[in-house]
Amino acid sequence: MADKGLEIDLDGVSKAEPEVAAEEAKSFENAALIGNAKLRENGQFVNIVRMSATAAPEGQPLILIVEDDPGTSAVIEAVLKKREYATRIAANLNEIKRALSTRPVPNLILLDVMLPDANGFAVLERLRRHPEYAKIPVVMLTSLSEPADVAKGLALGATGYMSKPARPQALLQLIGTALGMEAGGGA
Amino acid sequence: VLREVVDDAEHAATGAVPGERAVGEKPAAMAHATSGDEPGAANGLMDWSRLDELAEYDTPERTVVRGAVASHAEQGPACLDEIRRSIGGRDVTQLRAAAHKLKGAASNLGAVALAGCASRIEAAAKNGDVDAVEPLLGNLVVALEASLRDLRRYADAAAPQDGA
Repeated sequence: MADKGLEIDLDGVSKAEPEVAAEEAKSFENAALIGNAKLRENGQFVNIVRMSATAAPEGQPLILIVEDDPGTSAVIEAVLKKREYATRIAANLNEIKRALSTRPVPNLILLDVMLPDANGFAVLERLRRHPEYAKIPVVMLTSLSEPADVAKGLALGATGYMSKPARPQALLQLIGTALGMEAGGGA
Repeated sequence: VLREVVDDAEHAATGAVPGERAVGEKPAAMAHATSGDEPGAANGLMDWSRLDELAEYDTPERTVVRGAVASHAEQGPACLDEIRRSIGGRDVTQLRAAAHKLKGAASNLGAVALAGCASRIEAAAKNGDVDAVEPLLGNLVVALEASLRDLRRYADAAAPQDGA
């Protein structure tokens, strides 16, 4: 059943990328350079400052996959299910709202950047303003991995980045690290 | 034809700048674009290791990969139509989105040459240069049709056989 406290306002979110103040992006310059290098080397990285500071989730962690290509989301879901993660999939703004409207709240969100009706960074910005979702690890799924792109994501509150196509081992390592279930992969 | 497509895609992947070539539509050449090799044979169009690495996470009948191929077979040509419409309407936003979508679906299945072609179109659209896209369209068509043919053969070979 839908939970009012989980409702997220995504009105006005569009395909336009949100602006980030130059000074703010600059403060993530070094982290972005390290992140960019790790993305090229491993296909994933987690910002060390945002690695889970809390205990690893008990039971079966729930991952929300926000991805509009059904073939890509099916592959990611298959990889996660093989490792006993529970999953939900959303392909657009309405589906994101629906996926976030019921408990349990996802333990981690994989968020595509170019959605059919939204920019993933704009969705991230809204997630970070919501009390329930402000601290949930959000990993950007994207082929936009230049240092400037990475700095922007970090400034907006991204926990990490995953290059497309997601390599299974890199994906599992990233999720384990972001959820505080295993060490490594931090930047 | 395929060599040209693969070379172009490799240039796109490495960021090198290839010589400008005007490549028109070549549907007739497609009859020669696939060789009838065994499914999974190396031909520069596909990175088969991508599908191999997904096998561990799939069913023995490759349900996930076959589903992804079916989805790509439906959506790939739709993306191509969208790219053509966007060029006609000089809509760089829609053009970029359609090329990006095609690139993502292709790279998910190891269709590296197609992903490279789509990536070049996406980059041109990002720069607002619709005129630069038209010469790239021919290679995109070749790569899409050839990779879909290879992927379908791969999926058919993985599917449960009747009576099995």
